Amino acid sequence: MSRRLLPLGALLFLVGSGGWWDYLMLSRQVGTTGVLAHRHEHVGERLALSLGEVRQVRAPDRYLVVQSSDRVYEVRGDTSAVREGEVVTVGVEIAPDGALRALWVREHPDRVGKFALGIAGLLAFFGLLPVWYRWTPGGLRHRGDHA
Amino acid sequence: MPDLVTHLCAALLPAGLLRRIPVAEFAVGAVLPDVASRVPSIALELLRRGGVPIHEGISHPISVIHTPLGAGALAILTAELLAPELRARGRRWILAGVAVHFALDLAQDHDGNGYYVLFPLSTWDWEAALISSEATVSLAPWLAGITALVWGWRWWRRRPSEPPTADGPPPSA
Repeated sequence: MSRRLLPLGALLFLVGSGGWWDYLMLSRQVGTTGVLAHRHEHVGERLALSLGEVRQVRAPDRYLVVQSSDRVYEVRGDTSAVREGEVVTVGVEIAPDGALRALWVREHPDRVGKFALGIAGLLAFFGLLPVWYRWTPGGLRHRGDHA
Repeated sequence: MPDLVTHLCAALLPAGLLRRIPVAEFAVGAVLPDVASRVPSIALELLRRGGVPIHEGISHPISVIHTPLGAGALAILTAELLAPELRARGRRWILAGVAVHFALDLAQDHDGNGYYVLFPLSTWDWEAALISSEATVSLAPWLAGITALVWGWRWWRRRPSEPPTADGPPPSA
C-alpha cells in the first residue's frame, strides 16, 4: 500500500512546492526601475546579480543589467568595466536610497562553450538511452524479459 | 550548474568501472534535474525573449525540480516508468544519480547565489563554492574522453573471443 502511495505523494509534493515557489517568486517581483523590491533585501546588503546581460549604458555611471524580461536592474558603477551585450555577474550593494551600487563585475566568457556542452550532453543522453534499452546485454528490455 | 556532459560523465564513468551500477538508471538520475528543469526553463526564456508571451508563473514551478527534494520526488515518479520488478532498485539508483548531480552543482561558486537546498521547507540558499561555475567547460572534453576510453576498454574486454561458426561453437581446448 505504501509503495502505491509513494508516487502519489511525490506528485502532490511537486505540485504543492511548485505552487509555493510560484507564490514566493511572484511576491518578490522586481520592478524595472532598478530598485530591488524582492527577497526582503536590506540597505547595506551585498548580493550578486548572476548571469545578466548588459543591455544598455544609460549614463556615464549607470547601466542596465537584464536577467529576464521582468528582472531588469539599473546598476550604478564604472561603465568602463562593462560592454553592451556582455553576460556578467555583478556584485552589488544596496545603497540607502535603494540604488544598486556595483562593487565588482565578472564576465562569463565561457557561456557559449557551456551552452554547446549542454546541447552535446542532451544529444548524448537521448542517444544513449535507446541503445542501452534495446541492444546492450544488460539493457532494460532484456532484464524485463528475464524477470 | 555544470554542463550536461560533465553530469553525464559523472555517472557513466563510475558505472563503466563498477559493473554493479545499473548505468541507465544512474545516468538518468544524474541528468534528471537539469533535463527536467533547466532545459525547459531555458527554452521558455528563449521563447520569451523571442516575443512569445509566456508568464513567469509557468517556469517558476519547473524550478522546483532543480532542488534536492523536488528532484527526489521526480526521481520517484520516474522510477514508476520501469517494470514493477525493476522499480525498487531503479528508484534507488535514480536517487543516487540525483545525489551525484547535486554534489557537483553544490561544489560550484555562483558568486553568492547558492541553491535552495531545503526548499520548500526553507529558502535558505547554500553552495560550497569550491570551483568556478565555468570550470567544467575546459574539464568536460577531457572527462568525456576518459569516459569513452573506460567504456571502450570495457567493451573490448567483454567482446566474444571467437565468433561462432556455422558448424556450431568453437571446440574447447
